[in-house]
Amino acid sequence: MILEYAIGAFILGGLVGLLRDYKATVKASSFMAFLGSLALLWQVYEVYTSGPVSGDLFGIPIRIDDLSIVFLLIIGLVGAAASLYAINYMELFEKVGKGWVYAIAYNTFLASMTLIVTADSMEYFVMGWELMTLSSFVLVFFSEKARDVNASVKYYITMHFLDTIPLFLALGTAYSLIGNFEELTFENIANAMATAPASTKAVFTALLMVAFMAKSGMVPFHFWVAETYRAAPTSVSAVMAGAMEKVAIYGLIALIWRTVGTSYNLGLFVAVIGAITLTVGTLYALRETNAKRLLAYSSIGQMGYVWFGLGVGMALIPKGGFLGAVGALGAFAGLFHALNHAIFKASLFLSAGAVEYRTGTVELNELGGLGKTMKVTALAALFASLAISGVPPFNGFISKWLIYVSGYYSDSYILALGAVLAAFLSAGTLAYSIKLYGAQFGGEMKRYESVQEVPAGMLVGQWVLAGLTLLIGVFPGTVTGILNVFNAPINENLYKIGFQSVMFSPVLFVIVLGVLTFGLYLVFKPEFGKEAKPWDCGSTQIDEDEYRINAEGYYLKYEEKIGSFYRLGDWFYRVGAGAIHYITRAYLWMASYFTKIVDTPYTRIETLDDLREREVMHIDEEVFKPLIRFLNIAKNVIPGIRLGTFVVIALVVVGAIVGLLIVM
Amino acid sequence: METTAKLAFSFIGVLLTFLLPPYLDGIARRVKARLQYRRGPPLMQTWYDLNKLFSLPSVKPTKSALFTWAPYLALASAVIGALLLPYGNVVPIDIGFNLVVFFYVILMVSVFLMLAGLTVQNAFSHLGSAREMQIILTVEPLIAILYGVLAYNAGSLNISDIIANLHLTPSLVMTYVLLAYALYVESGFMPFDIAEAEQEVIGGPLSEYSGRLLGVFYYAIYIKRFALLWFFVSLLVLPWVGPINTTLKAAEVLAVQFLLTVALYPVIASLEATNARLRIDHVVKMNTRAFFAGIVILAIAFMGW
Repeated sequence: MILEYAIGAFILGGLVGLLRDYKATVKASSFMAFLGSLALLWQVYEVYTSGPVSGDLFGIPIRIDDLSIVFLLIIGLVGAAASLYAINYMELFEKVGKGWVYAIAYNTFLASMTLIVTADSMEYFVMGWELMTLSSFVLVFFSEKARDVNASVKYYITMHFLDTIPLFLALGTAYSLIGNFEELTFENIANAMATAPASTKAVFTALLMVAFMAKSGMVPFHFWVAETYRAAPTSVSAVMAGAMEKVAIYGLIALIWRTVGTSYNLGLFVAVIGAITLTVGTLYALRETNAKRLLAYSSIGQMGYVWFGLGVGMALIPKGGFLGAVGALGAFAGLFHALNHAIFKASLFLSAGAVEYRTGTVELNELGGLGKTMKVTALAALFASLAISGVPPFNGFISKWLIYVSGYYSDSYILALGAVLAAFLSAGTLAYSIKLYGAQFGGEMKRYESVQEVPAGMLVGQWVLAGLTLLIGVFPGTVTGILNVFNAPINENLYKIGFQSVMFSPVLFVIVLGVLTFGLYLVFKPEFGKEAKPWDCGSTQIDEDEYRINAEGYYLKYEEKIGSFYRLGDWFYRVGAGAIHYITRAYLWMASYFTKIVDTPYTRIETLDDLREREVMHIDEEVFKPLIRFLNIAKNVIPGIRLGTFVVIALVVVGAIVGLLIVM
Repeated sequence: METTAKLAFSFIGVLLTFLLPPYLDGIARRVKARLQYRRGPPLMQTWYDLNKLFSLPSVKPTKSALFTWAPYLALASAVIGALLLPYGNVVPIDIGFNLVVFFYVILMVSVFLMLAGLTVQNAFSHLGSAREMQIILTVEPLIAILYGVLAYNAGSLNISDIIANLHLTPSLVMTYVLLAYALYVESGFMPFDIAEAEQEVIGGPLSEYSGRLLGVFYYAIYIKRFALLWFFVSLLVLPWVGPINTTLKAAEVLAVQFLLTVALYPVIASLEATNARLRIDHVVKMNTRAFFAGIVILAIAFMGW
């Protein structure tokens, strides 16, 4: 198996961490990750041409089938581009040092995602999942700034509660059916599920659904996404948004759809969650002014499209006949959009990172005028922006269009309304991409006049992806073969793609557009007279850099008009974030028992940094100290028990029970 | 129909697309003038204006290549949009005869307009671009939902299937009314010309354009308006004339399309002449209401009415 080479490269990349020098470490490990990702693409090609592979990799049962290669393709493409880009980009963090942490975590991250989508055992699936969460958590706090550490802790704890616990419980459910950890292959689980009682199926589905919804940032579990992607180094954010979110989609298809099966209502649930999420994500992205947070919300929104497409598939495929075909189209379009989203979102993240690399900021209000000095980056960002807005002939158009078609044809009011929302929020997507592009690269600013283009490696990383948006958009046939896992009856050849009578010919479109544009250009050749500065009403005092609309002001009136939507959304956000806040506090409270802390009750431990300043206790101290301290606190507390203490104690008890459940 | 007839119809389509739009604007100017008891300019006036712009060099406010190319890309998109529509029963460019493509290609005119406005360091053009986007944000959901009704009514998103299979229901009539409104807004006619508003934001995204490039942009906008009107007229005419089998019938249908387009322009002009420009928040509010009306119409359509 070629997969061995890939994993080997990732392991080697991790071992490179032993080098002492920061720069050498990050460069070499990123390069090994790049090679590993290329090997993944090779594996995709092998399986695509000569059929599924099963085998054994270091004792882990592996099966690479038609579904796995879709996700291997995503991981490989995003991994290759982001790793190539990281070779230069990671220099930004030289002050932090600790190249070995990056080397190990980054390579583990890629390897664990590979493991998840190829392992043919739920045990290793869950193990890979935990490894992925842990390594991404380490990468998120890599910058070690207080705000980033906080974000990463919240990310990890969210994942703990919404991913780890449900996944382990689901694993337990599967184990209870089969009775042996060695035989937890997907096929065995599917067979066991076929005869299992309905309640078991429902519990298994619900647990996994929570885990996958949380990982791909579906509403109402989307509150962790924005801060996490902002905190992580940009090349890592690109992999997280591009590949990690998609792994949840793999789980949805491989573990829920293919083992438990699907029904109209389950599909409707997935589609409705998708439609809600694409609305929330997109409208939140619209008002964001931090490039990375904007892109994070945008990923939430785009993942909504993917879920919506898959939901249409899960709802309609069981119906068979024409609706079954529409369902297959929806599922195909969802997977296609997953691939497309991986490509253009990673590309946008890399462009934002390039801007950060040169200007030191991703705050859109402060940026501007970079189109003049960073031409190549600007064009890549323009391509990716047009692709994400679904402008033909870029790849986003085809997948979004097929999603609309499946929704409009679904013969169901809810799904049709979902398609309407999808089409509407496509305009929202256009709005924030125009803002993202315009605020970074539009205009001309003196402040950034001396900025230079980023090094070649970073440009190649961006352009691998930006080029693909156009290539796949013009020749969708290059990937439809791999993506058509659900045997959707799409009509396609080199020139066109479509469903029944609804066709689109991207090649012809590009030719016509190109010929017309160049023809009109030649007919009305531009002729320039003098050069003049933009007209500013004759002002003499004006600060030219500020003679513009900053990112915040773009859609202010619109945002005001839909303010009630934001208030509702914020309320949900506060509930989720508040829950995580208290859970974090509970964790810290427990953790405070393992450090040398001043022995007064109510010592304020608010963030991880408060703990990190303190010394860790020795093991013998740890054994007795908690008891003494607990008695101490009890003595202080009992005269006047407060509600807060109660809540904390209750949480500890709940935590202990859940912990016991997991152990059992 | 034989190939020569098809070619002839396509050729007429191309001619109409390139030549008619400025005349339509001429008609509108004449009608507006008459409403204000003025004589008004000749019908050719818009062509004269464009010709004059084409003959003048442009002032260059930025080195950005996008600034130079955006007008041509916008014009090309507008032309493609117009040529995706049926003339008689012939579609000049058959790159997939479907609503979503038409919807996006027409949108591309605005996309390039906005990008052009953002390439220069000028608060007025940025403001205009942002306004244009806000109008799109509110009008696109409306159009999306109306397309949903059409697709459900006819069982397809393919324009020719829609034309062949539409059946008259109350929801379809309401859809026509709202669609007329939505396309009017999208065309950026008078109460909705907020993005380019000369008196407020000195032409919005166009404020830094001059000479030939400005002429190309104006030309693109006229063609876009023509395409949207032709689309509406086609939806109004073609479903009810029965199958078009002969060249003669196709010619008759084309004549009806043409006459109706010319006849509707004075209506648009009188609406323009009698309305004052709205504020952006008014438009947002109106369109949001229209969107909810659209949701109700979609529900009615699903109930089978």
